[in-house]
Amino acid sequence: MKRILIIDDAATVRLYHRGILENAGFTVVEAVNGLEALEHVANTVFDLYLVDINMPKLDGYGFLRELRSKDIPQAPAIMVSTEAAVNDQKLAYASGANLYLIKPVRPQRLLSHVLTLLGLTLPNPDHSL
Amino acid sequence: MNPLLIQFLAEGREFIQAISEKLLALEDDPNNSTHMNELFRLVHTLKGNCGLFDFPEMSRVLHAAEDLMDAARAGRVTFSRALADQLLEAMDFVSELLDEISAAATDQTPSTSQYAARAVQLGEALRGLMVKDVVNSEEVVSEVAAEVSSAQYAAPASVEHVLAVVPEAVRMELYRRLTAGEPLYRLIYQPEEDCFFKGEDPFFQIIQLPDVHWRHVTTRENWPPLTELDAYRCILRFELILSADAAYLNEHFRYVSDQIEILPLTAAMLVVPTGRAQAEPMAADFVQAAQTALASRNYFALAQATRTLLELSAPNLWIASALRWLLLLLDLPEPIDDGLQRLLAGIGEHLASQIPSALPFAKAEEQSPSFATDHEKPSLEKGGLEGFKGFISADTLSSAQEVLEAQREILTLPSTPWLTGQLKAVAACLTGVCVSLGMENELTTLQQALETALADKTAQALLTWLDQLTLPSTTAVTELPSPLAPAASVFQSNTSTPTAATEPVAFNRRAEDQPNTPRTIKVEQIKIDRLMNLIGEMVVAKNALPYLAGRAEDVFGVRELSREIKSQYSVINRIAEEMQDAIMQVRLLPVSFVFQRFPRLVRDLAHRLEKEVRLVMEGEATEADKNIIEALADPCTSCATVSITDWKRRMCGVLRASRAKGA
Repeated sequence: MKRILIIDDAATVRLYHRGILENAGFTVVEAVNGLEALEHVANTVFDLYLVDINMPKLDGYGFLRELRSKDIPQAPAIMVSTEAAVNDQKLAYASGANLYLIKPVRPQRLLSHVLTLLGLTLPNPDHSL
Repeated sequence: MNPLLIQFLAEGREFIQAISEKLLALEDDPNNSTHMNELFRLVHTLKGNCGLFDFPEMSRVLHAAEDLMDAARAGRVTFSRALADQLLEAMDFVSELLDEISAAATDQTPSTSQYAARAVQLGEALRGLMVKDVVNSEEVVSEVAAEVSSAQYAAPASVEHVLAVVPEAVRMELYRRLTAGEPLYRLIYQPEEDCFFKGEDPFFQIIQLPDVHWRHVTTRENWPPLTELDAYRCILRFELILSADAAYLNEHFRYVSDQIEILPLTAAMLVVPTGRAQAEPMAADFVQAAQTALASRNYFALAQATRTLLELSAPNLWIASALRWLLLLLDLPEPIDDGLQRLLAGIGEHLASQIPSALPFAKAEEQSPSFATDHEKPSLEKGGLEGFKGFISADTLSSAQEVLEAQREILTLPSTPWLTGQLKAVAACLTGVCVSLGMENELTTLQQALETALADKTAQALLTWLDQLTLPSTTAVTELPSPLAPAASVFQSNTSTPTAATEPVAFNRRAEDQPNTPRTIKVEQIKIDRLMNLIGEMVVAKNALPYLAGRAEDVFGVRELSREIKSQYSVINRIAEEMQDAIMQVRLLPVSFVFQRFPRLVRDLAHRLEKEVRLVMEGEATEADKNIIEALADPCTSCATVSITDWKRRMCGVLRASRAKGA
């Protein structure tokens, strides 16, 4: 059972991502900011992180830097942003993100990235009935 | 209503409230960067949420608001009363839209499309604030222009829509000029209603402009019926695209500078495919082939494929328009990968929106080893899963390519203090890609590369490994059986065998078992009221126990039982009282619930009456029952209103009175 941590201050976005991932059979844990996410990380092993950038207390970049500095098994992190700025993407990668997606991420696109990063496959929903 | 929408509406209202509060706080302290950043974050998040739904009006206004806040945050625009006014108006509009959406979702009334005109107006007003500041200082113009050209493909969505009215041929010509280095501007001129009485001649102003590439005259509002038409009232709106420079334009329009808007045009804004939407069966294969060609920078093959599909498509279709743009981009001396990529992704998304597909995620299955090795399963399911496993979907392949590209970029970045963690994470991603593409044989070399990289403390070993990796070619993928057959069989097998069918249900249940309860929950008031009524009844019912104890002693003469009932009664009594107290706590709200509307009320009223009013609030943390708080709202509000409008009364006295009532 793959476990995914969603870190976003917007409840709507969390609900949206949670819906997509739980439907695909993943276990989803939520955190509302980077600090809360770090608490979760200290107690649980996650297989993937879905990280927002702008959050109160500790933002996405800060969370990733902390995460990558830890001596734990490292899992892929997808950074989700509303900005298509090149600099933001660079900063995300330098902070420890593995993929940078622009909100709103279409369900199919998010899922196909998550599955690829976790080494899973799924038939293409477009072609199935 | 769907739960996501309910959540969005509730959260949206909270955000708007918070944005208004922050705006008012900023007015008192315009240089407070904490407030400014927080405000930007709120607007930004609200816009992000809005993007999950199809509310173009709301997105448009919020996008403009966000851009304006970003400019204010970066110091490009100064925070002023006008700016706050405009943003507050925008938030009122958004809140109106939220009301409309929630009403529409319950009563099935018409959608929000009637708000489109106002959304455009508000969006432009917000952007206008930005532009006016920019045009005032020429230094900033060049700075912004440089910024725009560096981020050429990050065009705001609202502008794209506006430019869609420009004929495609004109836009293509403009695109060529822009990429050749010629600066272009979009000019919007909205003359004042009584401009004719001031001796202005808007039409003459416009036709005198040199180097105009495109002109368009519309009206700011619909023409009234001929009988009511006031021919001396100017409601025209001119829109032009021209190459004259900003300084010249400012000089040309110096008497009406507040009625024009000048926006620098970027190449990406022009790339807006237009036309009739229709699913094009060939196009899905094309997008995939094109992306592969692009990844390998085989522009010739890409152009070839584009021309072939273009010949097969009806010229008035959206897809044909997109393909023409693709060819134009390819035709540039130096094709810009980013732009091509974006256009291709756009085509992909357009296609996805055309194919009605219920997303069958619920049946998704991990490629668990237990399935692959279990020989006891019925043959149908086994066959289905094997077919499924062997098949690499176009989605997986394109996603794998994207992931690999990203990891390559990460590995080439300068080293960071958290390099070890980064390398491990990259290796985890690469492992995922290999497994999902069925290339498990690469994993040993990957592991070795990771160990070398960790020992050397550089990314080099992983980069070398990445360079030698060859993905399955697209031809191999297209030769695989049609995606329909294996996919369909998997789903049949999942629904027809009990083992597979129960699997996703189990996933969902376990997902809920997570010890991850949020710290606050929202409960409908009716549920709390019911609980409160029940507790009230219980309090009454428990009072029958002492009477029972008395009867046990007096009537039945069992003193022992009577004592036991009494001691039990004292326990129940204590619990009941605590319960009553607890439920009252639930219903308690801070009076700030009422007070929070005062700052805006006072501000607007003071502004309208041109009075200097300072609002002081104390004791907002005082708590009272929800019903009392709600009943207090109107009297308090009118107290506040009266104290401002009626100058003769002693304002402080009235407010203090209302405060006393609140507390």
